[in-house]
Amino acid sequence: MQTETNREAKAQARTVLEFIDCDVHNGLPSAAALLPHLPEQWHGPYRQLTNRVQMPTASFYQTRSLSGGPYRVDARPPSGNPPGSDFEFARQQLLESWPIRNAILSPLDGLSWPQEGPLAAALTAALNDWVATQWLDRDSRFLGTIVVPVEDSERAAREIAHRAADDRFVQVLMYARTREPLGHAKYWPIYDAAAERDLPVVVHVGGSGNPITGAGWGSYHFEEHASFTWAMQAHVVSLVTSGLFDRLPKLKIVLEEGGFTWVPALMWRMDRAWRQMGPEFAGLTEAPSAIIRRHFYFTTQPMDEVDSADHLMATLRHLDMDDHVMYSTDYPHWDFDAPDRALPAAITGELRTKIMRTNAEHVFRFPKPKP
Amino acid sequence: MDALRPFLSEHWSNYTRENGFRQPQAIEYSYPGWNPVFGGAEVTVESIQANVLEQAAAALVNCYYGLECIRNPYFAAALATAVNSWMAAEWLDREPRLLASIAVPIGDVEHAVAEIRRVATSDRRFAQVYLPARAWDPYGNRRYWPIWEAAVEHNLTVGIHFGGVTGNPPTPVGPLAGYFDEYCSAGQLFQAHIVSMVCEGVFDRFPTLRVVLSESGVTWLPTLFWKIDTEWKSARREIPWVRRPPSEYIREHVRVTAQPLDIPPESGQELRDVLDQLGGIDMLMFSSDYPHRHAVDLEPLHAQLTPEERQRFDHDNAAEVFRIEQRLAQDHAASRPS
Repeated sequence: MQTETNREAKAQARTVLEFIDCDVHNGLPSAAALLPHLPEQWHGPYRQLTNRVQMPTASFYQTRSLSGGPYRVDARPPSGNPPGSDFEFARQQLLESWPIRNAILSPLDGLSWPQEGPLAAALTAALNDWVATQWLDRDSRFLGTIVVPVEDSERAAREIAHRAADDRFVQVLMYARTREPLGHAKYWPIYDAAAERDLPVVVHVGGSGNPITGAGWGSYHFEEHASFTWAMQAHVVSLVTSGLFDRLPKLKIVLEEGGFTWVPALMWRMDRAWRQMGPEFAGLTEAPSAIIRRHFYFTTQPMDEVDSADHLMATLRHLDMDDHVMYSTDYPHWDFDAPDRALPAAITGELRTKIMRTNAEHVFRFPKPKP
Repeated sequence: MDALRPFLSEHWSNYTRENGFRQPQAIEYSYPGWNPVFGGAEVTVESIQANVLEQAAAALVNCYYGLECIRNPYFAAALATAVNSWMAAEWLDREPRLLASIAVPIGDVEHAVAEIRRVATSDRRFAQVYLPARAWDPYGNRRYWPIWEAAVEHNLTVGIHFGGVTGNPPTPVGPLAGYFDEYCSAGQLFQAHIVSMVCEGVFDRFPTLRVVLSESGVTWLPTLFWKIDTEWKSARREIPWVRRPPSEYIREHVRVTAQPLDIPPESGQELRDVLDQLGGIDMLMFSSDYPHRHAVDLEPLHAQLTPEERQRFDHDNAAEVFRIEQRLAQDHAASRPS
């Protein structure tokens, strides 16, 4: 009997609801594709960037992939260019294959660029131009993410102010690995600029600047992949205690690709320490969990394969943030979560609809329909 | 420093006098209410007898001395020896129900191994090697393997304890704003260590190695298991020596002390859920964390346990992992260094 019920639930799960994909990666087909969008004065410095990155963390840890990068093997377009770089191919493979209302694009080309200074600002602005003209102009289901030089708040804030005039850009991109934890005052101008325009700030896997764990450098890609969750944990603690949310009571932070099942345990630890050491020592007048539940959002991919449906549902109850979890595929990366399989069958009904679509509808400021 | 000087050679004793060394700076980085330096409770053999041994058959004493922040490798080694000799003379000799952890200079593996062997061959009341959670490298790193080898040879557990100050920032994203932040985010440090130990194949190389996490928190364990077991399915070809789901290694080799649990107060349901996710009580061990005021978690946990589970949690799990009976049965006078 239980098998029968399971089968029904699984069949239901495979009937994919219209959804919003909060994490899709497009990217430049080649370095040269940026040049038409980059002011001439930066062409020389841009060409000289190759191999000049200070801490190219990703290359410390080789992934094993037949696709020549962290990609789905079948996502490489016929041109042979990197997956996610061919508008028409990606449109067919993603938007035409699934009932997608919107897909939010986060190009990660900027990860290998400098994160501060005028060149960094010029490159990120050019990348945003490339996304607007090569993707957003060509299919209104695609939405954009404002890429900024994350370690240069003043220039980042200027790009946000400029780019937000284009309402197809619905969020600001920060990275999981930054030089300082994200509550640090140096980043506040970015949050000010985002909050002023009601743009969520998304913290996406990637970045460099410190050893990949709080205990130093690991040896394997396995650890590198797991360590993004640890960076996210540190960011949550830092953002909560920094006082940022007193200043920006409506700011939304979206943690992307960092998972969410770890959040209840972190909330419990923070609340417990807050009660025990006292609000004054923590510098917080309310319980940390209350702040987390107000300001943080999570995307689903990569979905932890929890060992039983009961265990997952218990953790979702502990999280108590049904309105804050949003579906994502991470197309075209190798750990793509397929919309008909990724969410466990135990997630049904209203919660399923919330995760697949309606939560994102409430989090992002969608562009007004054009006449 | 006056307490340790009798255990230092003339050279190092003079060294500390000449340069005014009082203690490793790492010790000063702690919650003020818990640190005797800032008016926290003074811990003595008598206070442990009154507050802990009143109810416990035996107690493992961890003396954290912040050796990882001493850059001079010879000085760090001399201090480690002094701390362990002081522990034996001033604590273990005065109370037969006490066991202790070995302080080691973790920045220098060769000296750390020498100190483990020196202590363990002469005094079986030392049950564990004490390591700080903040480290130079994640503890699976091959440079530490001689330490695990020595621990296994001498039947010692390896204890990873909250705290420590090394040259690394305590998070993957740099230094935090203060103690509260660091305390709250400690889980990710312990997660990094045990994932590293699994990834590097430490538990296959040393199948009898036992690791004890202290003040790590407990409730994150099931979610870490889900994450790394999921990851292992797709990424295991990079680490082919990890032949089973990572959580299995951790369940077998890692034990966790239950202070703090990190669970809401009055939380029957959440705690029941987490114990269910964890698959029982076998990984958990009683700890008072005396003199720190953590003990509030034990009552709600006890309330969830059957009498058999409680026996395992309060006694059997720790007795087994630390081999407490065998250690207490030793003739201490005979086993002490002459």
